[in-house]
Amino acid sequence: MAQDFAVVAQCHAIGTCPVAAQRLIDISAVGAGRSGRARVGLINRAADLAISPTSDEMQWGVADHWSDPFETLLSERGDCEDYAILKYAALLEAGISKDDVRIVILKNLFPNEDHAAVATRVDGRWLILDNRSLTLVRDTDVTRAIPEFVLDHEGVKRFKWADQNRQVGG
Amino acid sequence: MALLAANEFGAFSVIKKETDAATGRSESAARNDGQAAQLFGMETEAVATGELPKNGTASRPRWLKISRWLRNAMQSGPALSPRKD
Repeated sequence: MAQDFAVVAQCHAIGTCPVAAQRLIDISAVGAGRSGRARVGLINRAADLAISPTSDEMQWGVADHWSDPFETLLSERGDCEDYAILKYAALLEAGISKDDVRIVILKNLFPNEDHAAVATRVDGRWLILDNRSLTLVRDTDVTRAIPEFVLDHEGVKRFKWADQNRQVGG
Repeated sequence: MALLAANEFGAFSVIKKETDAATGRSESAARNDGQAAQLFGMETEAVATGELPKNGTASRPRWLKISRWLRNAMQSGPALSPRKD
């Protein structure tokens, strides 16, 4: 995967670019000249419109397949985690700090399934970028889903919500 | 395991307290800001490898793969490093 981003670095350096890398740069660039929520919103929208929702079963013939951004951009298809990974990369490429971007895994209640989305911190508040809604939603306004895990450059972490509730219930 | 989470948010709290002291902001306002800075208003703890979920679609290889991907992405040189433009 690091090779993919090395390609992006070369694009910046020499100006010629493979299609997928250029698409990633283009998605990030839609936020150029903007800041804060406007920048994130434009990048989110561009990523959502760049690919069509397709299940891993239909696209790859397997239950689960995590694509890197280039693979997603070349196929122009993907499911929730593919959207999330693409947005994660696009936000970083746009200059947002790695400390302000996460991938979150939620347990959706309707339908009952795992779901991936991106969280990014803007002006001290976390916004959720969910491919199913096309809008930016504050983390505290997320409904019908239980946050379970968060992934970032440091690794996998678990929200302590479940443990706290378990203690209260017990 | 909780050390990582404490590091992540603890550093933020220290900086905020110093800033708040300098600007005269109240303790309750600082606390609210701290809450807002926590994703979903919750603390997190690092997940040990043996604790990775195995049920449903959240299979263990999946978690390991994405975790590795994110770490690689962070080590990939200038293209995805924060820029100041």
